[in-house]
Amino acid sequence: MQEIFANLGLGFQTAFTFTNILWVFIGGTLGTIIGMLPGLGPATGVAILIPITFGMNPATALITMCAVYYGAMFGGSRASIMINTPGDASAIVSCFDGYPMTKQGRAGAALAISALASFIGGMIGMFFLVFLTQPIAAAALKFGPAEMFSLMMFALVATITLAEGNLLKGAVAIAFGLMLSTVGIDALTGIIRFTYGAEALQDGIDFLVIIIGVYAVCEVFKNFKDINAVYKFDSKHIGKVWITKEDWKRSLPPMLRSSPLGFIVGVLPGMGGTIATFMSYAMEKNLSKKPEEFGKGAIEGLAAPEAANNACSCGAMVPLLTLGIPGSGTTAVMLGALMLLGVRPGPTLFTDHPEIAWGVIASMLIGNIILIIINLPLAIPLVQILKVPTRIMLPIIMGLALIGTYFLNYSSFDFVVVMVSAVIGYLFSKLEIPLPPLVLALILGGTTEQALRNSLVLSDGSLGIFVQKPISAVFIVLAAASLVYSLAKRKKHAA
Amino acid sequence: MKKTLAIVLMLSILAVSFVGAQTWKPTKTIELVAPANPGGGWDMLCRVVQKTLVDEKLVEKNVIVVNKPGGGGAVGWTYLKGKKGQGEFLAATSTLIMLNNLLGSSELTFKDFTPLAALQTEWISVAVQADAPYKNIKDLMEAIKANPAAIPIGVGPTLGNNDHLLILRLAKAYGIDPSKLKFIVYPGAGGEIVPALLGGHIKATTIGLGEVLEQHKAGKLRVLGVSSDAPLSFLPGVQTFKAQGIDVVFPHWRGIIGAPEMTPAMVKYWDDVFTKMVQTKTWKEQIEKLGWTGFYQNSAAHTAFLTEQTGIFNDLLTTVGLKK
Amino acid sequence: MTKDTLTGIIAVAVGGIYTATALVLPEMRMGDKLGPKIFPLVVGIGSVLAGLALILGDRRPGKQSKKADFGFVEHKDLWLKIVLTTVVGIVYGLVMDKLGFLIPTTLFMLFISTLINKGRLVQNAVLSAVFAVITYGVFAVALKLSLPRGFLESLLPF
Repeated sequence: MQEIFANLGLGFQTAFTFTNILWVFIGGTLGTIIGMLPGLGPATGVAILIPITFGMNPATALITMCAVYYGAMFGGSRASIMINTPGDASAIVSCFDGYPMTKQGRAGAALAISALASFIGGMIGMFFLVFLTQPIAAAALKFGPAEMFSLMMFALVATITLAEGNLLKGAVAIAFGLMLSTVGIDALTGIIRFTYGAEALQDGIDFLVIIIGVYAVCEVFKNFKDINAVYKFDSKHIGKVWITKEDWKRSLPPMLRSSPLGFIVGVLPGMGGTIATFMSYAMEKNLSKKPEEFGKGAIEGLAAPEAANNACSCGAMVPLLTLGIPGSGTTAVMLGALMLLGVRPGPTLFTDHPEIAWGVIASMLIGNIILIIINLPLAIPLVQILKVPTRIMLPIIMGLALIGTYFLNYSSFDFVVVMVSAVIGYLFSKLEIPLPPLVLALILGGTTEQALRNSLVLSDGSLGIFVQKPISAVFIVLAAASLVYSLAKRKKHAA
Repeated sequence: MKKTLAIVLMLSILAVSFVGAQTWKPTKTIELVAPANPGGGWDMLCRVVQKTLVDEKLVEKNVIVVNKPGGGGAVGWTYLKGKKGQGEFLAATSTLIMLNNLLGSSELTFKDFTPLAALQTEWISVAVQADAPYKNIKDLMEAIKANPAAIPIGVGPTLGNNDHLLILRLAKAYGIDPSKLKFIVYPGAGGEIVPALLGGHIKATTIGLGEVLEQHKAGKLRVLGVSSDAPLSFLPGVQTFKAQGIDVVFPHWRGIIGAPEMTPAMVKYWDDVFTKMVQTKTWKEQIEKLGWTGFYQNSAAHTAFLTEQTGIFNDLLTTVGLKK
Repeated sequence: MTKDTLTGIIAVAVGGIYTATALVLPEMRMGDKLGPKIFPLVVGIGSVLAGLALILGDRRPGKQSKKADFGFVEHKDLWLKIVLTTVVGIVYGLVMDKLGFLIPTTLFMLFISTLINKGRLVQNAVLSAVFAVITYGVFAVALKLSLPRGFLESLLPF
């Protein structure tokens, strides 16, 4: 314990220089802005920095990149809340209750709670990172293909139960998402599946393109109808950028529950903020005494995933710092940049370069505080965006959405995907087919199939592997239980 | 009269092109196409080349990196193919330009372009858990020979890549039927394979040395051998496969191809530039930091190398039934 | 037709086509028990079953869902705008590699703003040009992300 504090002291010595704090400030602001733009997420943000970090010392470089990373986590949900267009996949859930809050004239409160929840999630995540890194990293290694598959099943089932109304429609949405996820070259055999001759589909369908289509572009379509009407929220109805005592009381326990969940999901290999936010939302909705308010502007429905998301980004640093393994796309880019600077993070980073490892941890603590200081006041000018007339705002959203699409894969074919998915998304919304399960299934589909097939290779074809492994069995039971619970609740509701 | 005119005209064209042959220089911004997203190996190569060319003032025009990911390189290369005869357009390349075609996922081969240079290579390793009973590559190969199903081998991101081919070649050279090996494929590549090996979900992996180097040094994993032709100075105590009696040398190289139909003058220009580039301090420093080894071949040598390697891969993929 | 029945029909149709495609995939196993076909088959059949259940559930008297209404006739204008935007958006993407970023972006913005912000030609033209220049400046120049370069861009000194 004493050792940890001594190390943390060393970290603060590294982090508390003028240059480093300045870079945390610049990186955090840049990250917040990049996070807000559709299509540009933390991975791109960190990649942009690579040329800039060429001349830095490794600790400063990593500190700056981390600042961009969690800055993007803060920023990602801004656009979700205000204009229903998530900045990246982990901000989808923030639309569920954040946008209804804006429509009710509570944009200010939504932005405030999202910044506060991000801060609290980040701080709790940091606490875990400081004190429990080694045991958690060791436990995460127990996660093999079988555990992964069962966890995916649990996540998918949890999402179906979120859907309002008909469970079968949720199931149809999941099936569509899984179908889309199988398009392209099958990694295990190299066979090309479901491209129907289109070469551009060989790499599969990028879920981020679909997200931009069904949220950002589709939102523009929905607004075509009442285009000449006055903008829905005039300035009086934005609300103060602060929250009431009641809001706080409702949000605190969900944030405290969601942060550890997010952190653990972040540590697991191949997982990310998307699954963390969906799971925390499902958990809170099922635990809530007023589940019917979820999706209609329940403040805890926004606070919980925001906290989970930031805790998750702390968790994602664990494999990088303890094993030198990138646990996510963003940390993979960080690893590449560090190598260019002559540092190879590995299992010995904490002993060989304690000033880097602990410096980064200390800087993340400082950065969290700086970001809440930036983000709370930032919300005040930000809500002014809502005063821009729709007829100016919509073309800009459309333009940014398409440029964001281009940056995802630098591919002009993605424009076809984004436009077509927007039209289909619009038709689906008219049929009340829920889109979140579709998007989540598309994101998880590839991993789910791989995990299933890899598990069966390991078990020589026996399905028993999923119940013989204890962690896997727990998830299977949880999945079954949440399905039964949700069916029972609906029956009672209907009766 | 007409004839004379034609001859004069032809001579003058020849003269112009001859003068051109000695003096061709880029006339506009040079585009380096990285057929991958930022952060990957190809992107890193392009950025290091860009930095070296600019910092060492080897070219007079501006150099930009253009990311065109997709199709295992095919998207970026197709873009390059459209820039016929323009000496300012280059792209990063690797073994994938041969493999994609052999595996049936792309029509393109190196013959569609102007191969300019191989620049660097990484070496591929075979690694096991630190407490595994296998001390060298032969121990592992014996165990696989005895019961291939008991040794799941992690490979990623797809089958048919360099890492996968390396272990197939090792198996074949050791007298094991390559189609009997048991593979677990991780689309997340090293980021998923290393934890899977550490956690004991797989028994061995074939993977770029850089991904397991630090784990090996820290005593968490054991590298059984590397695919280089000589022992590596930064990896004492680990022998090459060749030195362990399995004659397989396998570079995972990366290089540069130019637009189709470049003139000999353009090829000469880039030969000069790259020959100078690989000797600069900037280049050497950068590739050392990335754990790469210099692997320079000029245009002619690289073209011959590509032809030879295509033959080897073709045989191997046919044996294991991956050839389409 | 009601919403649930239509959803069911779509699920059966899409799932059916998908399942049929999965059936004709080549059988190929590299030591992998399931191969590339089984998972898609399960998903495809699942979609068909869920679709059938939706259709049947909707036939129970008194339990029918609301009538599906896309407003194709009633909101003809709206659908015209959606289709037009879709086509122009796709064309915008396709010409970008040839014509560079600045010109197509300006034209696209001019189109979409004219569609939304009718009659204010000067305002729209200014908005479009400023948008293209600012985004190019921020992304391609300041952040060094690669954007397509056409005639106009290659004249620029960076």
